[in-house]
Parts: sequence; structure tokens; C-alpha cells
Amino acid sequence: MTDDILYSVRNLSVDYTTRSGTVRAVDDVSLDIKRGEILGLVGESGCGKSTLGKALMRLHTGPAEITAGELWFDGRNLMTLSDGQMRQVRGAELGMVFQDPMTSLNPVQRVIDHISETIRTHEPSSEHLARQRAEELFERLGIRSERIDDYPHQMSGGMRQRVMISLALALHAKLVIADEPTTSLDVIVEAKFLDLLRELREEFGLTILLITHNIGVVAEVADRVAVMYAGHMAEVGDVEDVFDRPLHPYTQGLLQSVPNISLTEADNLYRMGGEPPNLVNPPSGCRFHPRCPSAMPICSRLAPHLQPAVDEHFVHCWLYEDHPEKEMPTVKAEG
Amino acid sequence: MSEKTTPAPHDDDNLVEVTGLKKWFPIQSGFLDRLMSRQVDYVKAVDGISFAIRKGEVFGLAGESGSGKSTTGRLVIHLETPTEGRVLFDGIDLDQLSPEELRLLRQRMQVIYQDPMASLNPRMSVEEALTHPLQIHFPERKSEYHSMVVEMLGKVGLSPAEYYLDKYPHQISGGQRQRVVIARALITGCDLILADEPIAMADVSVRSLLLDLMKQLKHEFDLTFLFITHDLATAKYICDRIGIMYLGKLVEVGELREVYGHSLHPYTQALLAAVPVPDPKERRTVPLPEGEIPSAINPPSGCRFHPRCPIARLPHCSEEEPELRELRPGHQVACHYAEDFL
Amino acid sequence: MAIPQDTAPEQLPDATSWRDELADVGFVRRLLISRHWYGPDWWFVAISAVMVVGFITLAIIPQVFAPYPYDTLVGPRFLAPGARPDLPVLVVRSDSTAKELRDLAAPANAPRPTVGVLLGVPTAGALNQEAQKIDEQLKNGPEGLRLRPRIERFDTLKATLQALEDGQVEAVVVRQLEYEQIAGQFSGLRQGQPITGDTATAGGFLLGTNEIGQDVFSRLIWGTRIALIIGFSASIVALVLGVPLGLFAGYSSGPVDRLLSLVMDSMYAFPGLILAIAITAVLGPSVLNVIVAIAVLYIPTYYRIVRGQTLAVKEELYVDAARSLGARSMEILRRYIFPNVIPSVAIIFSVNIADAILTGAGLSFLGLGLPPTIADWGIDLARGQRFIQTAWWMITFPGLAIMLVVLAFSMMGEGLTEIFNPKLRER
Repeated sequence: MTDDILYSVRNLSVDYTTRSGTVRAVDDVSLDIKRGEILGLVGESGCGKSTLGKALMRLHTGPAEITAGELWFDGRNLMTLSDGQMRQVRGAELGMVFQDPMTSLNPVQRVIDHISETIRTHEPSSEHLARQRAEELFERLGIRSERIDDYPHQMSGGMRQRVMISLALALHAKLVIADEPTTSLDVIVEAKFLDLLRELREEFGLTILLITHNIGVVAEVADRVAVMYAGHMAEVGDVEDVFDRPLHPYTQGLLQSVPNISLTEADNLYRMGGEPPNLVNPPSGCRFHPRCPSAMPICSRLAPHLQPAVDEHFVHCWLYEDHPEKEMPTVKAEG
Repeated sequence: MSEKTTPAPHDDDNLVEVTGLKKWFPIQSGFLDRLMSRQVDYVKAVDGISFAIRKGEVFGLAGESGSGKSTTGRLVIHLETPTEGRVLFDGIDLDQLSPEELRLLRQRMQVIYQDPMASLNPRMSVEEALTHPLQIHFPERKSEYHSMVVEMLGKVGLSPAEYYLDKYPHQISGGQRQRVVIARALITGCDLILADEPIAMADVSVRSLLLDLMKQLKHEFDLTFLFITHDLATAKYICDRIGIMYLGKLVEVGELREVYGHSLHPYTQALLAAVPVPDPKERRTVPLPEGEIPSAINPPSGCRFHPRCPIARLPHCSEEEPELRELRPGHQVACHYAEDFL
Repeated sequence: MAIPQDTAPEQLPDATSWRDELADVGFVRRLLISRHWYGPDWWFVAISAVMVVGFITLAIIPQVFAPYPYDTLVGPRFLAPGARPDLPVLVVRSDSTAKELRDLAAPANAPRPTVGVLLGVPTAGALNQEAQKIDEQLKNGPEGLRLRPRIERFDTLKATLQALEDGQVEAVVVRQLEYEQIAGQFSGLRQGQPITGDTATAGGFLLGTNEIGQDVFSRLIWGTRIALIIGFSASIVALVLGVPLGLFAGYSSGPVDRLLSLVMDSMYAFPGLILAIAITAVLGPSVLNVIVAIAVLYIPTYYRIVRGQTLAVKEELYVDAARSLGARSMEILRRYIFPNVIPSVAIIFSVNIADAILTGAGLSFLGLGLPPTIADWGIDLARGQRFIQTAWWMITFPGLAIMLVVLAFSMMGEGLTEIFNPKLRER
């Protein structure tokens, strides 16, 4: 594994066992996260992005289960670790920031105590030193000193998210997985939070996987972007490449259907037909084919593979992949 | 028509006229507090706003949480009673109506809610949900109910209508549910639609469809919209005029392209800058205001935005509340120093 | 510009909703398929449903299942369960036509029949008693038959039976169980009917008899009827009164709500059985009064549940939507709030029946409420209490019956709760 890739996900599949059958929420997904980058994982609800995020930390319990794949984090396959070893990795090397911090912060513990206690759980440290480090972190993250003794419910949403980040930073996490961290925040608070993520990446060498359904957020802050649809990875590439020359019809449709606030943009939005599919009974072959304006007969029969179309720009679509049964010629994407 | 429903003197082009509207919610105080008659605190959700909605336009009301936009919407159609101020609907003062008169007047103003699953009765089928408003407002046309429902389902794009008639909300998808909600609002033949974040909960790829649908229906049925949203990008696609709210006050009102293109209030400028643009080449470069939105219980004195405002000049901005004034044609702003941006 | 059509599911090939497919299937199939979804809860409800149906059947047609009537003295007292009553039976030669004692009657001037008995046991006394009874009946009959047997006593049972086989006596009256033990040694003999008790009692009593000779099992079966009548009636009355009050209080939320809640909470705080005792003591013993007493007990339960649910549902967005449509309050209550509150009531109803049955049994155990002529488990419990050392079956089986019925209804209520208010289901 090359040194610049921090986390390499290979052929990951996650299944949910529900009353109505088994749902393959993540289907044979492979993804590389480079050191020091902000990777935006974007998709609609039900596409599997949150499931993927939790799977990266092996957080799934109960009805959800990783049924296939390898998780190569910093040279180790996390799938081979025991529960105890995995617990050490979580927190110390992998951090997570959730959408709703109210449910992940202990409501009966002051936030400063929460951080210092976490520090002391993972490394030997005196209470005084741990608290000191927590205070420094809070200051760095813009949490004013008079607020550090607050309980979570006394803080605003933006503040709580900063506390979550400090939890991850406190233990020198290498990778922070942020699952919809700004969805519940107002737009100005959100913008400042994204600024903070950028700064932390610069200052601490943090790698961030930013999971969101908001394309604008990804455009604002990410270096590379991965687009998921219905459990599959549809397209992965540098953010400018993907936004300038989207290859996958879903990405193309999505970019054209999202409102853009700048006045120079046209007033008409592309209307994508249909709705995201129910994963209990997903469409056959490529899961996007019922809604795809470029669908070919092969699309309903076989699922394509994630292939590099141009340099590091990967796409999961029969338009760009060769197959003996294809009726139409393969499209050559320009670089 | 009774005396009370005869239109008062007003601008005939306006469907809705709001003057000095306030809504203060008392905070539940304990028994002992009330006993010792401590001063009651209020959440000043809406604290004195005035605007008008012209017939046939889509008027947007935008702001962050705590701005009072949703409460304002509910006040306009009298789902809440104002603490102070007046709402005129087509010249009729809503506060002066009897409960029965108000109930019947509701035929002319309907709501599209944010969460379609929560706003549909889980125990009513689509047909029942759409027939109910007809039963309330058109009791004499019973024999036509079925055909009216079928026709309306077709108009919102739920085709074939027969498929949807006996379905319950949990049996259809989110986008379809929102269409049912839209159909339910339109079937009364209303004039005003209060749309409260109607696409916020829809899947991203479905939102443009719904926005488009609303625009189409607005033309077809000659509707007026009060469109409440926190998403300024969405507002751009459907609103004709827009009002920006902050902490219970209107800070800027005008034609949408005018407000977005020449915003005169520091808060509006901050909002517009903060909205993430889906284009990596257009990353934000300007700084954002400090701090967070203060509590609506004790808003800052004078101009509410002054603690965070980059151009605030004390003591003027902290002592005197700015009024809305028209600085450009059709463009009002509530800021003492808005001239700086002209 | 055409309005963007929402493509109906038929046109999207693979996206048919599994819910649609399920809607096409019949109700019974759906019940069975749901086994996979609900897992153990399904079995819970299924088993308890079978039990409940069983009990209801017993309550409706007890005569089909009960071998004896519940009030007649059909057997010996204190007979243990399964024990055959050791009645004195008539034994005759195989060629004789006599089946019961009555058959030995002869015309007045004919020779008196001889009947052998074992020496030293009271069989002779019983024989004389029964013969006298029959004789009294026959005396005035048209055929002029009489029954005045002459009794011969023998030292041993074997001798008695031998005498019968030899023809020394016409018939023999011995205790059934003793006879059966050595009947194999005599080939020419046939057992007839017992000389006392009902004709049908040779079969025995499945769960024994009580202190006056009534069949415990039959009383158990018949007791189902009164238990379920009380349970259902009291719950229905409580529901009919409590639900509307709760709806009204929850919806109006004003001073009326406060007053009603005050009253209801006071009633609720009262220990249940004590309140029921007080009411029945005042009203007097009758089935109707017991139902009233228990119903009063449970009205606050329905009230509180419904009021709580109404308060919650009232805040739901679809109620707000109904108001914005212009619906009247009554309409909103009837079409929006009530249907969404009812499922919780249905679940409470089941558990409530269990509780009502228990309370009813408690009341009759204390001797209140029901007149003693009715077969009732509580009464049986009370009677059996004195003989718990000697005749344990008198109190055990009614106790078990109460437990099973209460269990069945409670299980069903709990199972339905899980199914209708699932804690964690699929997305």
C-alpha cells in the first residue's frame, strides 16, 4: 500500500437484516482515502454513505453486519482485529463526528470532563494534565473559556460539534469521519465549521472523510469527492474534475438539479425522474438504470465496475466500460 | 358577507398586508415564580414586522433558526394569534373574525408543510385525505368529490390516480407524499399557499421536481405563495420577492434579484456569502460575522445584529432600532448605515 | 412546459414495492408470513390467541365440555382427582339381565331376591337405603313390583362372589374397586351399575370432587363463563365511559381537564380491590353489581391512557394540518385523533380483561358480589381454602384456571403491544 493512502477500503459489503429481507446497503465498494485530504462522500438518503462511514470504524451492531471486504487502515486490516484492539483504534486513531451531537455527548457530564476523561482512558495522564490539554484544544477550536464547564444542552449546535471535533483531536486521531456534521446547523455556523475543518487539516495534518448530502458543502471544502448511489460508488475523483466534467449520469443530473445561489446561473433546474430505490428489492444490474437518460440494455442486466476513466477519475458506468455484450460503443472521457 | 368581511381600505393589489406584527410566547414559569410574581419572560419570536404580499407573487421569507419566519407564516394564516399587530387577508382583518368565519375563510389559505409524513393522517387513505377538505368547504357537491380528487391527483403528477386513491401515507414514497400534501392544499381552490420549507425533507434529486411542480401549479391555479425557507439557493428558483429575517425582525425586503445582487444589509450579505455554492471554483473568501445567533428571550438592544455586525457604529447601533426604509426602488432595508453599500 | 409526471411503479420495472405485493395477498397468508417478521412476538400472540379462543369457547358452550352439571351432587365427597369413586356396585351372573338395583324388583308375591354383601362393611346399610328408596317409588306403581332384598353376609369377598357364581345368591353388592381387583378369578360374572349416585359416574371424576360431592372439573368449565362475562363486561363498560372522557379531557385541556383528572387520579390512587369491595358491599351481591364495581375501578385506566395519547396526538402535524384545512373540533377528534389513539386502547383492553377477571375472582373469594349458586372460581377458591391439607385439588385447580386465563389475556396484550408499537424496526 502506497504511503500516501491512509485508508484503503477494498470490496466492502454491508448487509442489514430486516423483517422484509436482507438489504445490501453497501455493495462491493472500494475507496481510497489519501493522507491529509478532505474527501467528500456525497449521496442522497439511503445511498449507504452513513453505513459506509460507520463500517469504516466497525461500529455496526445488531441488524447490520459487514459481510465482505477488507479495511486497510495505516497498514493494518481492521477486519482482523479483535474487539479490544478495535476499541483502541477507535478514538486513538479513528475519530467520528455525528450529525446530532446531543445523542453522542453525555448529557450529565460537563464537556470539559468528557474530554479529559476520554484522554485519560486512552493514555496515561494525570487529571490536571488532561484537563489542561482539553482546555487548549477548546481554545483552539474557538470554544470560549467560560463555556468549558457547560453541559451539552447548554451549548448551541455549532459549539457541540466543535466539542465533538475536539474529542477526535484530543487523541491525535489520524482520520476523522464526519457524518453529516453540519446538517442540523444554520448556514453561517455551517460555513464557519467548514472553515474550521480546513484549518485543522492544515494545522494538525488531519485527514477528513466528510459525509453529506449537500453538494455545496463538498464543493466548498473537499479535495476529492466520491458520489454514492444506492449502495454503489458511482464516481470518484478530484473535486474540480467531478464538478467540471461529471461522467456518471447520476452525478450529471444531480449537479444540474441542485439550486445554485449565484445569479449568473440559469433559472432552470434539471428534473431527475423517479426516486431513489428501495434497497430491499433494488433494480437489477446498475441500480441507477431506471432513472438514467442514457440507459442501455446491458445496464439492466449486469452491474458495471468502478473503473478509472481518466487518470484518477473513477466511474461506475457501462458508458465508460467495455464489455463484449455491449450494443453501443464505449465513451472515451476527455482528460 | 357580514360587516366584518367587507374589505377595509387597503392596496387592492395586495393579498396579504402585515402591519406591526408581534408574537411573544410566554416562558412557562414555575408555580412558585408565579406566586412571587417575578417578571414573566417571553420568547420574542416575532417582534414587530410589516410587509405585504402581492397577488400572484411568490414571496419568500428567509432566515436562520430563531428568525421567526415559521411563526410569521402561521400568524399570516392565523394558526397563531398575534400578540400585537394586524394581518389583512384580501382586506379582511383576521383578528376580527369569529371562529366560524375564520374557519370558513380557511378555504382560501392553505399550508404545505415541511414533513409530508407527519402532516398526513396515517389512518387516512389518499382519497380520504383529499376528500376531507371538500367535505368541509363544499358540502353541497358530494357527487363530484371522486372526480375532483382524481383530477387533482393528475394535476400534481400522481398518475394513474386510481393507483394512489386507496394508499396510506406509509405505502408511498416521500416525493409522492409531498405531492399529496400539495394536492390537498390546492383542492380547496385557495388563493394563498403557505409553504413552510416544503422541500427540505425531500431527497436531493427529487427537490427540483417538486419546485418545478409548485411553479407550474402557481401559474395554472393563479396562486400566491408565502414561501418560507432557510435555503437561500432554493429561494432563488421560486421567489419573486424575498424578505430576510433576523431574530424576529425583517432586515431587508425587495425583489429577489435585487436583494441578492445588491444586498444592503450586513446580515444578508453574510448569509449570501455563507451559502455553499456547488462549484469548487467559487469558494468563499470573505470572512463571516463573529458569534452566534443570540437568544430571542433577551435580544440585543437597538439593532439586533449590532454585536456581530462588521460595520456597527456604537452607540448609535446599540441604542436605536433601525426601521425599514426604501433605499432603492422596491428595496427596503433596516440598517442605519446601509448607504455604505449603495 | 408539461408538469413532470411521477412515474407510477408499474413503469419502473424493478422497483415494485414489496408492500404492494403484500397487499395483494389474503389476510390469512399475511398472518402466516408475518411470522418471519415478528419472530418470537408472533408466537407469543399466536399461542395466547389460541388460549383465549379456547377459553371463550368454554364460556359459550360449557355443557359440551363439562361431564356433569356444576351444581348437582354427582359423586362422593372429597374424591381425589382421577380416583375412581369406590362405589358399591351390583354384580350379577353373566346370564342375568339385571343391570342396576332396580332390575331386581319382583312382583309382590314372588320370592324375595337374595343379595350378598361382605361382612363388616357399611355396604349393607347403603344397600338397604337404596332398596328402600326404590321400593317406595315402586310401591305405588302400576305393575305392583316390590324390592325387598334379603341380605346374606359372607366372610370374605371371594366367598361372596363364589356364592354368586354358584347361584346361592341372585346378586351381590360389593365395592367397585375391590371387585375389579379379583374379578379376573371369576369368569361367569358381570358388573352392573353402582347402586348409589348418578348413572354416569362409573367413569370417575377428572379433577376430583369437592366437599359436597360436586365435580371440580365441571365447575371449572362452567366457571369460565362467569369469569369471562365479568371480565369482558367490566372492561367494555370501563372503555365506553373512560375513552370519551379521556379524549375530551386531552383535547380541551382546560379547567374541565383539570377537574376530571383530579377525580380520576383519586380513583386511580385508591387500592383497587378495596374500592371494589366497598362498592359491592353497598350495592349488594349480584353479577351486575360486580360488573359495575370492577368497571368503576378501571375507568381511570382508560381515561389516563387515552388522555395521554390525545395530548400527544394533538401536537402532531397532521392535526395542525386538519385545523388549517378548516375542520371543526368534533371532526378533528373523530377522524384524526380518535383513530390514532385507538390502537393503544385495544392493547390495554386485553390486559384489562385479565385484571378484571382477577379482581372478580378476588371479590367472590371474599364472599362478596356473587350469589353462591353460580359456579365461580373465586367461590371455589374460598371453599377449598379450608381443606387445603386434605383435599388440595379443591383450591389448586380453580387457582390454576384463574392463572391460565389471566396469563392468556396478558400475553396477548403484551404481544400486541410489541407488534403495534415496535421499539426498533427497519428504516
